[in-house]
Amino acid sequence: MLKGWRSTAIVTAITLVTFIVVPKLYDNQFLLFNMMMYMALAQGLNIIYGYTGYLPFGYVGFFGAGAYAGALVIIFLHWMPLIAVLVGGLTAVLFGMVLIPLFRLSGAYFSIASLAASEALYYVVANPHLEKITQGPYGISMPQAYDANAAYWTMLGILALSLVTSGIIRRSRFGLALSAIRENPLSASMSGVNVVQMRSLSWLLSAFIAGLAGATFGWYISVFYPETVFSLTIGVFTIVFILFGGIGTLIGPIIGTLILYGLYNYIGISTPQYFQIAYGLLIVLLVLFLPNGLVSLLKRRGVDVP
Amino acid sequence: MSPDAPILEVGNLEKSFGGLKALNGVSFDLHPGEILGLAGPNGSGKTTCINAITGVFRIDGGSIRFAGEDIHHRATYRRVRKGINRTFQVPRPFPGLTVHENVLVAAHYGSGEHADAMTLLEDTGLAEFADKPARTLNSSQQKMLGLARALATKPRLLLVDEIGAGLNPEELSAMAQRLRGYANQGMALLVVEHLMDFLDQVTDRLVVMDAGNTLFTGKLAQATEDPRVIEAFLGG
Repeated sequence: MLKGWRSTAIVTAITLVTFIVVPKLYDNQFLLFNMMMYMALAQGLNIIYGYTGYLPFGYVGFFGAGAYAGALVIIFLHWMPLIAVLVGGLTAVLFGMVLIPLFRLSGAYFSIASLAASEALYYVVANPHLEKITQGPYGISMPQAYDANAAYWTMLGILALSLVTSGIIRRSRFGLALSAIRENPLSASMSGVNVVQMRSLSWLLSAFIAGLAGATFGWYISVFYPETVFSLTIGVFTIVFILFGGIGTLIGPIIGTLILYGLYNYIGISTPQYFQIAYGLLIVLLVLFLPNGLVSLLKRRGVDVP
Repeated sequence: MSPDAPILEVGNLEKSFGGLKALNGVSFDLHPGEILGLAGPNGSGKTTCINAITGVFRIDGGSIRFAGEDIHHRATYRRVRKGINRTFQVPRPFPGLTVHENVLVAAHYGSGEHADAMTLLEDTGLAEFADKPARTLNSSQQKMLGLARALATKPRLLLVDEIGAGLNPEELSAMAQRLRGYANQGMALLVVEHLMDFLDQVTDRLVVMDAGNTLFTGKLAQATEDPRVIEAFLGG
């Protein structure tokens, strides 16, 4: 675990260079933007779920919190979008801090409680009585901030940050402690690990990445409704992508997003009925034959998967 | 703290689970370099006592002093960093991590001075499995891994929970010798055990518990003749 920095650096570099070069050859920038966004979210989720074993079904709550916080400081305070993105990340961290007591729950209870928290935030934001602040159900419109190119490169930066963070955690003592917590929290305590602190830190890091991604997404599209950024589909996609690729690895979420989001765009938008069948079939096959994701095929052959 | 002061002082420990009083006024102390046996029938509160000392749960009453400091409010990881550790009756390794990583976590986080994980694995006979996942070890190897992990935090007090179960007589003698070796280096050990022969090899001082109470404290030879101890073990 404490080796393999080189493979981590290579995976990160290839991914980033791809998203720098491909826009010159392929003009669907929004697809590439979304792919980067899902890869960043997948790495963010990986930090909490892959390393500590806690699966927040309501992960999208951080994304939505970031999107709204970023938009509101642009609209009301006229702050630069880049600063607004940072505010989005920090707001998600704040939301994450409020939710730390959820760690008293375990397994499915934690997952469901985080989903409830995300939905609660959605209903607060979408409340018509808060129209003067959040625009309520009528959504956000900030055409003055629209700059798709700048948002694209910002998302690339967030992807880089998420990959580097996830890669460092995976190869560090901190990552080792998180893995120990995932395997057995009591034994981790008996090894001197401050379980509450470590778990909270990974939770907040994970929230920060989702908040940044949410704020940048809001900036990119610049017109959105509460259900756009609190959509359960975003959360479910992220979870499925990292499960498909392989949790607890750097490359797994990248491969998972590339294949499944690619498939979604290839057949999911034009013929959603076939997409649903293909998606369902893939997930069934995955659970039956590759519960640890695609990268487990390499692990079985003794490859040290980054 | 004077050199002959006890490293662990446990006074009137109390702990209830619902209507069950698992600990009901347990008291004993332990000096550096000493091995104290803790015996008693099933359900008498031995493991509960270890859990209380290591902070797995908070006690309802009484005091736990380690190296002169009241630690009963401290979180488990803080007690570990102060120099307390334990082994588990049923081993609790990190099954998906390698054997080496299992010990490495404790070596990194357990104390200020980093122990050498590989040396500990060699010492406990696990070096050849260093890169294998801990789940592939058999149960006695997992017990040794638990011991290596506890030692990686450089404990001054080691609580050993039924480490002799499942070992053959030769392995038991080797284990007894190993524990005596730790005590000779100044470590204090509390050895919870059912096997009187094993206790006889490691210590001559014993606490016997029954139904959460301290039934007997004294020489092991006297315990085996004490009618209360005989009654507790044999049910009268």
